[in-house]
Amino acid sequence: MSSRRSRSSRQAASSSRITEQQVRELVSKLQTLLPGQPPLNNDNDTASTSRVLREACNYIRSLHKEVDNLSERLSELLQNTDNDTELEAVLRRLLM
Amino acid sequence: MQAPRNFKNDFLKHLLLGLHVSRDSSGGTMSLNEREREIKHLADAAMALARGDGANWSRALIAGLAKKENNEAFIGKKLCKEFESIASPHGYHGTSSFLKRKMIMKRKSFNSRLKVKKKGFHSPSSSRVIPSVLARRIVRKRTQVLKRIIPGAESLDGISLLSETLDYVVYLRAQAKIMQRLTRVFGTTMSSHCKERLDFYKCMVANERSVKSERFAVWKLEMGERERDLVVD
Repeated sequence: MSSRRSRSSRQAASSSRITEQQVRELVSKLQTLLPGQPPLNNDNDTASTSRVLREACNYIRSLHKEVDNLSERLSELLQNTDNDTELEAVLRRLLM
Repeated sequence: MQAPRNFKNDFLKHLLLGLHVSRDSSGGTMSLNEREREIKHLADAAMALARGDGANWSRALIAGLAKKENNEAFIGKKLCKEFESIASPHGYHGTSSFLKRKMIMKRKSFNSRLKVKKKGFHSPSSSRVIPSVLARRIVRKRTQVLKRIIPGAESLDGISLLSETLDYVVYLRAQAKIMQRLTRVFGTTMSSHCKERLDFYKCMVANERSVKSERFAVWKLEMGERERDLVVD
């Protein structure tokens, strides 16, 4: 009976170890994507995870804002082109 | 990590087609704000369509946008088609009421476990919170924020949320970069600088070169002629 218990606890420990490692990998991958992060972080896992999460939230928000600005700019530009038939013809040929 | 090339092509294609079609159909009756919002929807639709079925956020975006768009719009039609294909069997994780209830149960059990742990460590005089508990709370708060800003991520948890974030950031970055290039091209077209536009198109088409080399050659020829005319003008 004791062997069964220890086996199950070992299994639980190993599975949680696998997930922790996965989490660490994903967090470090995310960190490489984010701009302006220190390359090495030796702090404990939860603190760096929360930092990376915060940076990820900020980065995603800034990207959303950038896309909004670009949409605004595109709407202005497209309004100003009056029948840019050159462009349209080329695009049509390009895309069909 | 970069978005794959075929995504960039597909995204650009969807976006340009959508812009082209919507410009024809709207006929200049929209206010600038409405137009801006429409372009933003187009960009998101293009991004989700180019990503396809491979991520939860793209499926959620398609489903969400398909419901909003009126069916006459070109993108609306495409979205509805795409939506039908993803609406079953596994669909996407959204905030259905069943899943919400599941999440609330999960959160309750987590909170109750947290309280039990605190009781064990607490000294009666201090009201300090153990740093590890605090850190875990912060992580939990941040994951909740993340769930709000990534489309369709409300019911994801743990590792799937992290991998979804990774995926979303990569493709969102590509979307922003391509739209930047596009605005630059349209902007320089205004000031009639032809060379950058030509290079941009060449770049776009060169990616399809391996499949459609003949058409590329013909296009290149025609493009060259067209450019020569413009320069003369």
